[in-house]
Amino acid sequence: MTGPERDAPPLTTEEEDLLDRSARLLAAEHPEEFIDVSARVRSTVRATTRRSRPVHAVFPSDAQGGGPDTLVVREWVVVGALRRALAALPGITPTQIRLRLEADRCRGVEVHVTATYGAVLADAASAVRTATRSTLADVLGPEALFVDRDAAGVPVDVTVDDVTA
Amino acid sequence: MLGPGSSAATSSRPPSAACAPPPAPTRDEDLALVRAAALGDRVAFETVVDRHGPALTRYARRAVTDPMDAEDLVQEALVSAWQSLDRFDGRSSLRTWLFGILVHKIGSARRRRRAVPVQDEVLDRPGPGDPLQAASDGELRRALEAALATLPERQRAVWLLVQVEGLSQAEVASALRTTPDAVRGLLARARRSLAERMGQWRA
Repeated sequence: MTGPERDAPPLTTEEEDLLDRSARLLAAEHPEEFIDVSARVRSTVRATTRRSRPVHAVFPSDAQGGGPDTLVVREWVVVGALRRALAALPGITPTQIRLRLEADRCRGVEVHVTATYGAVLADAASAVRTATRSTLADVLGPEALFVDRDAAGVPVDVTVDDVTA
Repeated sequence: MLGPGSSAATSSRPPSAACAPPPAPTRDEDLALVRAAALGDRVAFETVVDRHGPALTRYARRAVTDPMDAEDLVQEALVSAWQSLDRFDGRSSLRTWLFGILVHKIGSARRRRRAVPVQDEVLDRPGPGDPLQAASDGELRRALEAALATLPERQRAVWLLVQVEGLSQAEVASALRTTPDAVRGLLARARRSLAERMGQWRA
């Protein structure tokens, strides 16, 4: 024993029982006011966005002879769309998604996932890349995804962090 | 009296959570929720709120004197958690991380406001003929809360987190940003002080 445990007399059984009973009383409480707190938290969270970088999007213009329309999408929106797309893949759970941006241009994506035990990881990674590029094209527009015209598209780096049962 | 065999005997029982927590979510379940929430899944975060919010609220109610302040601080802590989920690295449990945020919020609030003194009459001894077994839980709870309110802030925090919320001393050390040895000392002092202040309930 050290310090106060050594210097102070040990608690009696009576004292132990009293403190245990007291702690049980508090631990058994389910605070009614949490209902209000929970509602406020949900409302605040729905209205609260995290700091998020702008990402350049380009879509073909409907206007005759006009240039492409541009749009700025928050990184948060892109990541959310990717999360939903990847979570829909069988046996895949996304754990981290990061966009690589140069200025506001998407130049690549890093995706971390867990895969179900037994999955062929190369196939899983391929499915993740395909879903990622497809989603990026939907959200940012196909024109926004090319590093240059000769490239196949933005690189998607997939890391399988864990294999789960 | 507490009952047969309880008088003046010393105890070697280790301090522990007095009540088993409700079916505890596993660390993996929590981690999966946090990862989804960090990627923007608000439903996953709402599950986190429902799982851990009641314990946070219970703790905050005893850590600050004003119930409205307690609610506000829990809200602030949970919203802050939502905004910084990407900083949760999984090294500590989610519960420990959330309590750490709440403890920090409470400490900041305490520095901004003056503590409200506790009314001494709450500690009044139960009337004659009121043996402990007959004492209402409400009376004991009020006496405990009054005794808790007289403890130094960190002793109170440690006692609540260990004995009521069931955190390990190592988890409390992480939440309070101190060492397990310091937590052990604070817990021993808190238990001794509470036992002395509530001695009337054993007479």
